[in-house]
Amino acid sequence: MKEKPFSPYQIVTNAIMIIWTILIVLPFLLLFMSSITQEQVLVSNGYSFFPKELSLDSYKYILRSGGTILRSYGVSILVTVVGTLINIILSALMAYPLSVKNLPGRNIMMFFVFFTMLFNGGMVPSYIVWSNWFGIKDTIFAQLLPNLLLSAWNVMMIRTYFQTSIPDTLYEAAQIDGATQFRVFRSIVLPLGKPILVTMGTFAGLAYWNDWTNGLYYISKDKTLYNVQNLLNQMVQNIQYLSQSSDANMAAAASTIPTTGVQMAIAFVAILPIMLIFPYFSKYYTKGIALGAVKG
Amino acid sequence: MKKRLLALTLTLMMASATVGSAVTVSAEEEENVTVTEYGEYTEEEPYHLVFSYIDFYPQDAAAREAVQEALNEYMIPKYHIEVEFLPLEYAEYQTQIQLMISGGDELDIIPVYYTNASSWIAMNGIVDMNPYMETPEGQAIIDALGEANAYVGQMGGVLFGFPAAKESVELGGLCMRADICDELGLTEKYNLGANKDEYTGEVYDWSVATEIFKEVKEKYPDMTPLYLQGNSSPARRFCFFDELADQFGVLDWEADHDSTTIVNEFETDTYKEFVTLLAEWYDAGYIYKDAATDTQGTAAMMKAGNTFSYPSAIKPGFLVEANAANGTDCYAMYFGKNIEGGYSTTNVSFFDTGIATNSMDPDMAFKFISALYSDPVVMNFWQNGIEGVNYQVLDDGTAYFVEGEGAANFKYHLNSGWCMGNQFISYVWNDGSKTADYWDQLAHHNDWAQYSPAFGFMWDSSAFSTQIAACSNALNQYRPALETGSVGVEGVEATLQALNDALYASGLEDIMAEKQAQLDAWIEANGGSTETPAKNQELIASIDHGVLTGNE
Amino acid sequence: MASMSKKAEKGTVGSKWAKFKRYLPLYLMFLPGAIYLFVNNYLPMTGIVVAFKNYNARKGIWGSPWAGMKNFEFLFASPDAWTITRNTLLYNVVFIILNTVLGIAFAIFICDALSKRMKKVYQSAILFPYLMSAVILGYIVYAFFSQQTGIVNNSILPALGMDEIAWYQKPEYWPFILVFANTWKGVGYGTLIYVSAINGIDPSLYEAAKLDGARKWQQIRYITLPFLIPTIITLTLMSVGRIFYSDFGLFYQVPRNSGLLFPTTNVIDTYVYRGLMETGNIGMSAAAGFYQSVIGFALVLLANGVVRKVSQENALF
Repeated sequence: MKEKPFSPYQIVTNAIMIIWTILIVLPFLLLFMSSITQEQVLVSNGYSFFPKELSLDSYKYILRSGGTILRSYGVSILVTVVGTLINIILSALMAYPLSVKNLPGRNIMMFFVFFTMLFNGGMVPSYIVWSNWFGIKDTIFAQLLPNLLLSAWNVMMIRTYFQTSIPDTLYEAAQIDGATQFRVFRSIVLPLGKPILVTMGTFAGLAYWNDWTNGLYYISKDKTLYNVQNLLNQMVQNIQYLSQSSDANMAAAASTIPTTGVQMAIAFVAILPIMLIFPYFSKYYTKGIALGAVKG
Repeated sequence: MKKRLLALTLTLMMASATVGSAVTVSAEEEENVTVTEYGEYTEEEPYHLVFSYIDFYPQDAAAREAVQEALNEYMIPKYHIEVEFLPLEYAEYQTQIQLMISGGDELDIIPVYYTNASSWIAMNGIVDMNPYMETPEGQAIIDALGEANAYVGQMGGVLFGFPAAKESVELGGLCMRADICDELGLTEKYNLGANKDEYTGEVYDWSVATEIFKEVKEKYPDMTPLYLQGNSSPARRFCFFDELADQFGVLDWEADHDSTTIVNEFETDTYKEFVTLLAEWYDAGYIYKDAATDTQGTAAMMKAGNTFSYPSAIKPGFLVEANAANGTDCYAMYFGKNIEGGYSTTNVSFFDTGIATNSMDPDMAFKFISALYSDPVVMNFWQNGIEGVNYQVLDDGTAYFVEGEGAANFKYHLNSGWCMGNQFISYVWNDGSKTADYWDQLAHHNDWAQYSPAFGFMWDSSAFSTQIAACSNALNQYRPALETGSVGVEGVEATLQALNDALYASGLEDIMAEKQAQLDAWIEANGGSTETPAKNQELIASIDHGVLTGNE
Repeated sequence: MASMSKKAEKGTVGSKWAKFKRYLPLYLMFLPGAIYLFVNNYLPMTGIVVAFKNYNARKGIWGSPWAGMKNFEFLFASPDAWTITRNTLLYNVVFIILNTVLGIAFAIFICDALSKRMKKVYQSAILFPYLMSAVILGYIVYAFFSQQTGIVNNSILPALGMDEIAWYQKPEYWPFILVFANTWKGVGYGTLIYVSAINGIDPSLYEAAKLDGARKWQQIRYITLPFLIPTIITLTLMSVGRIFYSDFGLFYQVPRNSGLLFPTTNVIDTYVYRGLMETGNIGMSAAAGFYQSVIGFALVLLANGVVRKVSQENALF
């Protein structure tokens, strides 16, 4: 394979990807540099890749909350891990029947799923259902259950993949062997569907990691259940709202919170774990599934 | 196929419809709670009251619990009420309260921001407190706030809340860097001095500011003479209108103190004059270039060291706070078009304390609100914490953090008395130069108020949400650029025109007509428009010079 | 005659039952997810009715008095009604096209990366912007385009000998900035999905093509793209359903709520937010959501119908 070093196609495409990667990395670098720039320099000279004076004050401010931020990381990690696992199991289970072409009632089932992507009842009824009926308010389930446990969007993507990437012949062969539907699911669909399950699992995980609305709606008394995003968002929002107020008292309240640099630091703190973990996960994407292996 | 889908949709809708009716039932059950008599609750079985308020500064959770416990040791025997604190973040409290009201959660006392009042009343979320005003508890609130201010939260016959006791008169000017004032000789010329923030009738015309900015710009070309933030409606700092809650149809107080004719603020000469002045400043390079969209806030800009001044409301004690926030010594200078300051319903009612309709027993909730206005022990616990643990009382009768704690590391110190309750009965917080008579100083500051004739009037906008939503968008579109001068002198005329066209196309006329009708009816019922108290009139009349122009 | 038909009937009933039995496990698999969707999505859907009500918290959703279409009026009362509809639609159409085309291109490029390590780098990098909240994206854009302190005005334009530009006051630049920002942030999502789809292609197909002397672009044209079509259709149909919605953060935080930019940055979601910010009227926000959903619903039914005509099996339902 290596006799011809690089084809023009490879050179061009890799060049494009390298440029795009740089375009992505540069703003992140800027973000990081801003977070370690001294606040005064940041405000007066603006953002720069080469700040004149460095300072770790922003991170110190975040760390001042001490145990709070560690605990919120704990909540985030727990919820993300558990939520993603359940999400991916539920989605795969739901997507498989939808991918079986001659299943009676499949269209109606598809519509049942798809409809939830279009219409929603809004905040108040959801709150009544989850908070009043299921009593999840101020419990860890508040971070876990509403909205994120299953996404119709993910189900649709997975079922499309199942439908196109798993050859019908495999099913037929399995059925001739007398395999039950659950066996087919476990020994054919899941292994072959790994690329999409990992991908959609990633997005489900990111949705959990990035979510702050559940905490906002369903956690009011027990702030120990805040996840990282709740905590950081609360800081960012307070800064924004207070500093824009026309009332002198509120502006005074805002002035005690460090501003720009801290927001950058907050952003960095929130995404750092993902940036560290993701490259590890990405090896699952690179593994093309050799169909032959299953076939043979 | 299509029919089947339709059928499915309908079935699902029906399924959720049954859910909806179930919600109704549970909500109605709550509505039928029988009103209890005072004293049904005992020391052993006190009324459990949920007190939500806004937490502007982060508090230590354990310390808050300790304070709550200590407060209850006092509350239960005396009021038969057990209080549960429910602190909410400023950025989130509106959403959370709306959800809690809708969900029928346990909730009694709520903070009400004046623009929310009409829709919260419309959704039947707030208890009307008028019936309680005859009780001794109601009288205690009137004694604390005065008759006029106690009834200011009155909308469409519903008394939805009581304002905080605070300085509400609209007097303001510039907060400027002291070192530069010293170097330019401004300190001497305008008689600025350290900690001079008390108002004495000494107020300068805005043309004086032009001179100052010019000098600053010449001597310090890298410095921004004036920092503004477009999204915080800077107009309020420069000229006073009685906004009548939403700025769509106002009283042009600067032009005529006694007029009760509602006009379009953005067509008045007062407004045009002021935005033109700002545009001139912007063109001359006096205003921060990104002012229209900036969100960094005054403190960050002042700390950065290349901003000379920003406009602010000024009051006694202002400079102590400003110096701390800005990290540099500042001088305050009053600017305006009048000696006297404006005073409107909007200024006073800003934040109010009300009762959510979720309350299991509004009688007891009202009792608690009354305590917030009349019982210093309750106010001190809630605001300052436990004496000896969170704060100490100094020899002069003011209070401050205990040894070893300060603004940077305190465990419990709300500092939100300007938002809810009656801070005038709690300790003066001695954060620098404040003395025990500080509350009197603030009260005296209010004596400079020239009341708007519509003071006490609050219009019920609930039938006009459509027009207000459309007008809000128009205002959002043009105001930040206009009020930071970013449109430039040449752009003023056209932008004003565009703004007014958009407002009228959005139904401004309907709003103004209805507002005028409601105002006329209110004046009729009130037996005439509101008069400025005699004490204020005397004080204002005692100033024999007019607005200063710097050439005296 | 009668017995025959009876027999036939019995036969169908029997086979129906057998069929059902055969498929029962599939229905059971579908069930847990369906229950969740029922609780999380269908139960609260009663809230749609709020759009037609004068909401009263103590009377509940069904007990509140009817309001007719009043809650919808504010969507059309403004002179901006046309602008926000146009902006919402145009941006979404451009976003759908760009994210599809670039997503597929990047996915193909990634799969043909020089080495596994490079593949990993590209793959990780392309997803990172997806992690960034709109507030922070807003700051980064501001870092480049701020008039007083921005990198473009301070470093780039002077180097090119050009005057500084008041970016946040000139609406004409913003379609480009927003489209770029959205692509930068969002293209990773589609890319990863297409990567996983390409990973699912049987490698032997490519090997056979190579043996036949197919060039790279021919492989893409005849193997990769046809294989991606179902994914493209699913993603596009779902995006069409949300075509009246927009990413609020992108249109609110990134232009920093600058009023002068409204002609090219105001969309339905930001209009609704600004209009209801002060009052927080529940009925009106429900009305806005309902309006956005209904249009999306109608368009999806239409698009799905077209797809079904062309290729039955790629239609969603």
